Amino acid sequence: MSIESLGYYLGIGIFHGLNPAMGWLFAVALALQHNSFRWIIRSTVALLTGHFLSVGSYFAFFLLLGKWASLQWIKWMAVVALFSFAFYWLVRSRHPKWVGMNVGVADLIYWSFLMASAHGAGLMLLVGSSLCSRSFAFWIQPTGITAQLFIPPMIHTLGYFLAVISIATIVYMSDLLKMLYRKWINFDLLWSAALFAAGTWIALN
Amino acid sequence: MMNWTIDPTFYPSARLAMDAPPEKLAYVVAFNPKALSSDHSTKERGDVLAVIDVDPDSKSYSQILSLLEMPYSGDELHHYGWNACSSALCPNALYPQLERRYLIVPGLRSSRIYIIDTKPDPKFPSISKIIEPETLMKRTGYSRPHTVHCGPDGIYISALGNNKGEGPGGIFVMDHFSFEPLGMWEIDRGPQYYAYDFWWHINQDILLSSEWGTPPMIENGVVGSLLMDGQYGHSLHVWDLRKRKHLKALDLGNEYQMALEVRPAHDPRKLYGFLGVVISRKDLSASVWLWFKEKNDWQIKKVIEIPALKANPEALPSLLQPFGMVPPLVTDIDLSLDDKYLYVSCWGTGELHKYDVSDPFHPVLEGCIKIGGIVARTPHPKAPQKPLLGGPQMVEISRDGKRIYLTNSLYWAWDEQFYPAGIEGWLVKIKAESFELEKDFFVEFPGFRPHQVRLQGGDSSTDSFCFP
Repeated sequence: MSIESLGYYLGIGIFHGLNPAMGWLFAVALALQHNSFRWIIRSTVALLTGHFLSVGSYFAFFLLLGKWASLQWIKWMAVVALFSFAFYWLVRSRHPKWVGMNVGVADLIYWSFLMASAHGAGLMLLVGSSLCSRSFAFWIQPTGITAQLFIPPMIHTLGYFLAVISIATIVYMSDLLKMLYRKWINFDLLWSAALFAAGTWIALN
Repeated sequence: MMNWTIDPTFYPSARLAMDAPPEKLAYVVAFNPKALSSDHSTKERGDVLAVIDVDPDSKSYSQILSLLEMPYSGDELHHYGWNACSSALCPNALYPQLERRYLIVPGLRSSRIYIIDTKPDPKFPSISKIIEPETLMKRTGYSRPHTVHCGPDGIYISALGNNKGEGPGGIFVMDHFSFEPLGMWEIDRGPQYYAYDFWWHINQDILLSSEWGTPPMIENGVVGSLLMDGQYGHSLHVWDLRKRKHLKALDLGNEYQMALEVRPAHDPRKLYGFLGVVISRKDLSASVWLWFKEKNDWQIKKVIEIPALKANPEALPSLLQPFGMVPPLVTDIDLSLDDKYLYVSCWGTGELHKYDVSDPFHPVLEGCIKIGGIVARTPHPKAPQKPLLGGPQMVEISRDGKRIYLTNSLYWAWDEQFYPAGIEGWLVKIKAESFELEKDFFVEFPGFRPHQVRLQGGDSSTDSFCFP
């Protein structure tokens, strides 16, 4: 795998992890509620499992689609999907209450899976894959279907994990909520912009 | 919708909300009693939402800045709330783009709901939408909307009756964005039949609801025979907020009548709260109860009892004459954001009590303010010659816990019974620390009777916090 695509998968993972709606805030709330740092670890593991499952399913869907459809078809399907999610998060950015606040590990996996799916998180990976992008992914891609299927979502999830665990730990340990909520920015707008950028990139390639 | 930052009045925790700047405006709903008592041969004026200047540095301090009159008459505006609050920061359903902007104002008698916009000019709010009673009843199966709470996933509103004007009452949900009533909240209501107030332990997924009575038991005044039979509500219901399912009824026993205001601790780690009970049919006393979770089970216990006072029967309304006593009638309680002080309104005796509830099982009475009252009629220091009718009713604490606001009217039909000479509306302000009335703050509402107070930016009975 090229260093560019490696960096891309990892970077997008970190970006996903930065979004407070994607889990770190939940981990902080649970650790505070239970007054225990173990809940940061426990929730982060649950959150990354759900995120991996969602991103992996999106990725596998497009990869397996490649067995029947031409690359052109996949490319334009991905573009349409990316633009649709981008519009959705621009116009109707709601985060439904899929679980309550009194949650266990299974609830968190489920919640994280739904959040990542509803945000179209897995679609952003296509930019870095050989399916939709010539620019940097064509040189060296993982060979074999298993490697192709698993490696990008795994690297992505590693980035997500690094972001979630470090932000959640810092915020929990240093009582940073006070400062953070003042500096908070609307991540849905940022997310929407990222989806547009990804869609445009694929369309132009 | 497209805010880049979050609403500055949303706070992750009650602790942080206590650092909020002092409020500059107070909103007060007041109803027009004439519209309810007249024969309706002439069209009476509608109820109003009043905006009061509560900024001590302002020239118009303690004056009514504007009155927004409702286009219909006879709504009986009562309790109300904000469209959104700090619960928007709950991480399971984060809504960074909501803002505290609209007041959701139900008419308790008409079942009409006004959506009032405070944004373009907070001093001159305007009606932006009206939900007609027919729509509400058709969509939700409920009528007589009462308490409004901003939830993380929608606006929750309790209702005293069903769409036929009988029981059961319950809770319905309204959409955050369109303000359309979505439907009945309960999936399994178990034995619950009466409704009144509700709130939640949001991090436990636990909702608590209290009981008054069905519309026929209330709308024409308290029914003495039902009260003496112990027929009014006397239970607190515990619900699974997530599964919308009844878990347990905590029965106080039918000696205790009308279990009304529900005030859970604001810190989401604390598993307790206070419930105000209007009257005991045994000795006319009032009480405050503590619910708490112990050994994985919800329980309830009386922690405050306020006795009735002896009185000359001639000074009493006919309803109370046989007893020769004036009941305290605890009709509202409010808990400061640090969960330290509980303020208890005694609408009958004309007193506001301050309790230190740092140890919730053993409240300590710290102070008492006298104003109004059925017999005492204590005047306000600003008009010491003028006996006041009505008594401490809806009480609201500022977010920093330093100021308290108080109105004097309960509910039209009940006002008439307990204060048959009629009530002139007023709003007063109290310094919480020294616990005394602010001498130059006495707002009168000629022709109107004020009920709930909401403070600009939030107060101690609006917001729910998911962080401790």
